[in-house]
Amino acid sequence: MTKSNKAAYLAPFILLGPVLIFVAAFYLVPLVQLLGGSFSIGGEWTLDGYRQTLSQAAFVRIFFRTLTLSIIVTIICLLIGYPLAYQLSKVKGRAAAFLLLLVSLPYMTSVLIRTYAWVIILAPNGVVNKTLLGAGLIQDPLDLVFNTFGVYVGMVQIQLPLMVFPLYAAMMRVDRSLTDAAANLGSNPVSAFLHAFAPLTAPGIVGGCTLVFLSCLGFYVTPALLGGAGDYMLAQGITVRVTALADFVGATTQSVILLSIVIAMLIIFRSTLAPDTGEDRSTKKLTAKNGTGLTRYPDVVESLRCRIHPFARSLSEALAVIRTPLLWATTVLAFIFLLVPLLVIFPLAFSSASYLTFPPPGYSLRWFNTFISNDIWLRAAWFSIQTCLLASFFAVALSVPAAYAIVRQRAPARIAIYILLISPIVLPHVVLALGLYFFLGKIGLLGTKTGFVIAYTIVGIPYALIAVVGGLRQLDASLERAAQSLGATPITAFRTVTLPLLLPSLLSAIFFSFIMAFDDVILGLFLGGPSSVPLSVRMWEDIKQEISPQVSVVAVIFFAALAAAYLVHQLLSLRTPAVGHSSKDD
Amino acid sequence: MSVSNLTMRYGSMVALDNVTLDVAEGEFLALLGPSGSGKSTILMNIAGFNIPSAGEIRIGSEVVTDKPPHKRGIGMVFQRYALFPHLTVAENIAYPLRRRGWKQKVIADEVERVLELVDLGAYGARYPAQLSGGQQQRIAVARAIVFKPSVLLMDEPLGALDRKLRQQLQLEIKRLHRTIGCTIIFVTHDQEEALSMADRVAVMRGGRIEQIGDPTCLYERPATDFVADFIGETNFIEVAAKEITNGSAVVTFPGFEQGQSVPTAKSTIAGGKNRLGVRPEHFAVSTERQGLKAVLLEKAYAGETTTLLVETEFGELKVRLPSNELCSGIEHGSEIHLVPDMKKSRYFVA
Repeated sequence: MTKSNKAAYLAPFILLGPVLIFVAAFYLVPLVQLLGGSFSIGGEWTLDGYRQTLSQAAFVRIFFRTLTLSIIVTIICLLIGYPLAYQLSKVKGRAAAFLLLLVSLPYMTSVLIRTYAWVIILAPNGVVNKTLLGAGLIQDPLDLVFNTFGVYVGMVQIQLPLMVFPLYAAMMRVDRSLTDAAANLGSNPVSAFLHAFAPLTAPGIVGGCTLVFLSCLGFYVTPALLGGAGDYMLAQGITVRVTALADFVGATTQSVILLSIVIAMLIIFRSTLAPDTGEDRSTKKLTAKNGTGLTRYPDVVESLRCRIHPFARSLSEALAVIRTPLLWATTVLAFIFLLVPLLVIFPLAFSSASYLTFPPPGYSLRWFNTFISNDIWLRAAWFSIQTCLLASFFAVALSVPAAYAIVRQRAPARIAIYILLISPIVLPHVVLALGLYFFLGKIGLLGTKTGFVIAYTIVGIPYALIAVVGGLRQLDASLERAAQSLGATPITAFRTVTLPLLLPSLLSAIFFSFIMAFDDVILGLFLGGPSSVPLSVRMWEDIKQEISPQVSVVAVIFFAALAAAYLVHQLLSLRTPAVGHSSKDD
Repeated sequence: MSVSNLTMRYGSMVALDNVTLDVAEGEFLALLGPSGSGKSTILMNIAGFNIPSAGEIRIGSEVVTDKPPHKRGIGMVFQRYALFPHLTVAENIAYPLRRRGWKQKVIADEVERVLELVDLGAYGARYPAQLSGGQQQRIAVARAIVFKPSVLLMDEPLGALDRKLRQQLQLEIKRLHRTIGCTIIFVTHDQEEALSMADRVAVMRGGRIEQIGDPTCLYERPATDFVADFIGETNFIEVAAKEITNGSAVVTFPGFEQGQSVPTAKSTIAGGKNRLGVRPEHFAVSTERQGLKAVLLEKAYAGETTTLLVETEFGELKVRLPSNELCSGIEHGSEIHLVPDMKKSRYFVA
């Protein structure tokens, strides 16, 4: 092997090394320990933990409630998300960018804040009930929250963006001239959609549903706050076992059961979750099934088909007429549903009342003053900012070389590595939290800043990696080659060409990994100590005690910071003039 | 510069199969071939972006096979130019000079010099996205020559441009080559471009060099039927040859009383598919009704010449005639007699 051959062979390992070592140490080892721990009680290998857990009626009930709830939320999200994504995919240019930003805004907003907003809207004395009572439509307030209905509303609103993004991406990949061709061949718009468009968006449907379902499984804040007393989900069950009952065996086995569902789903749907690592999707070749290449239906189906056809045809003709208003109505309602919880926060933050009431009787800065003058709030905020910022820098620093190896060096097993690195997105935080709780406890980092930075880095790596991989793939590889042919060493080429062009992606990477760490509650509950309380946990405790306008102040400050970050991002992106190819000719 | 016994394998696929190529200093060589023939792979090997499985690359007397790209000092113009979008035109051109640690003053002078050379003197402060495709192409050339490389590689540099502009830039690149006198290796799949620009053309097929020579040689004396077909057009007519002597095959053909000698590259007759290759313009219409009987199927007028598609005992043939009265007199379905120019035809032994 020649010298340059060896260097080219080793490069991916050097680039992937740091992130893999970090993830192995602080992610895989804790999870494996958790797995091992679930099979041992007092140092002996046994299945008793599972026997115990599975024989508890309460666990079985919670387990199936979690599954049903997750499936139903996924279906509702698909039903709302598909038409929404479809309308979005037809919008072009600046308007499209703006609408996508509106959809992603809730995703960037803390789950806590959104859940809190739903209480304000749905409570017996909330916005909806007040409006209906005022209009004389109902005599008594409706029970809209603190029951299963409330949980559905809150979870669908939180998960909807997660469904829309993969659907939107899949729809943008579909060649629109296919539906024109279908129309030309005799399809009305509805049938063209059903036969020539919808089947091609299948990867987006599978991807969106997988993401939504998996992240529903681990939900904690929303069911705990919007659900009724009996509406426990798995994550709550596990947390209660640790914090209230000190039943570590039960918590461990339940976590491992949750973990195994997630791993199974990851393996089944791995191809839909790794669409952007540079694999050619068309390699999955379609092969002819029989000699003629025509589908043959059984006679029963065939006669039925012939009989329904005229009916189906007129139904779809009728649908074609009303489809545009129907789609727009769904889209507008979906946007209202997504954005209203964010909007009620603002007036509330400036409320002059000493208790929660909406709309506020008057406006003042009193809640801002209590926030600024309260040492506990400020300390928590400072703690969160420090740890999340550090963690997001680490996450990006580890992700950049890894992304480079995955996209440019075509590292061996890159798909598997990519899936491993983004898997913390779908792993319920409660599982990670429990794993890290044992692990950090053993090495004495529980309740420390370092412990939090480690945990938040694991949470941030997937978002950083997705952003950087996306950015690198947009960047023409021949730019780096050009730099090298002009005399730049690979490192100089990276510094002078790749890095400046990647800057917007790096900023998004820092931004998203920061937000996701900042939003976490469960890790904070498990890993915190007296001197290490993140802001999210502080808010959580405040909301649980009494719903006051205090949290909306935090939300408004958070939005202001978000807007500032967005502006900085835009300004820095503008400095790079028109990145991309101009295909203009003379 | 030279390339010897270069082989490149991707798993079981052979992208380059034992390629040897010598390029003289100051020569303009075109690598011509269909896509997948290995022409870009050679370029990537010379530039150092691919590492060959076997073989050697020399620049002058120095072996560079193991050198990383940035130490080779070879200029390269990329397929879609690869101009840095975040740098101005001037900074793009200054890039190689900055990497070499030149003085600011010298850099400024050199940038101005090459910008003048490519006729874009006033465009230094612009960004690449503000230029048209043709201007971007010229800037890419300027950037690749500013550090005075001894070899300039061009990877289908005109592929993204429309026909008119391409022809104009072909002439500009030739003029530039004359001015700066560096060695150019130019990859293209457009035979017209290769023939009109290069001193020598290497025709590639399946990772091998099929034939290398000056444009006239390739056009008039193609070594294989592939070259005859790829460069210009050729009718292949299956006729047997009696023998081959002194580089000529003796062929009997309708309309000729005795065997005609046709030039060939081979020295013996093999048992395979032996064919006579005649270019469309090397047929004449016999006024004495002698020669190969042909019936006109289709006629396409193209200004100075007219192309006829005719049916003969050897199948369909393409014939190109000057657009004169004789030609316009030939009607659909009418019978004519064709005589090939045997001196200009070639005999191919498979």
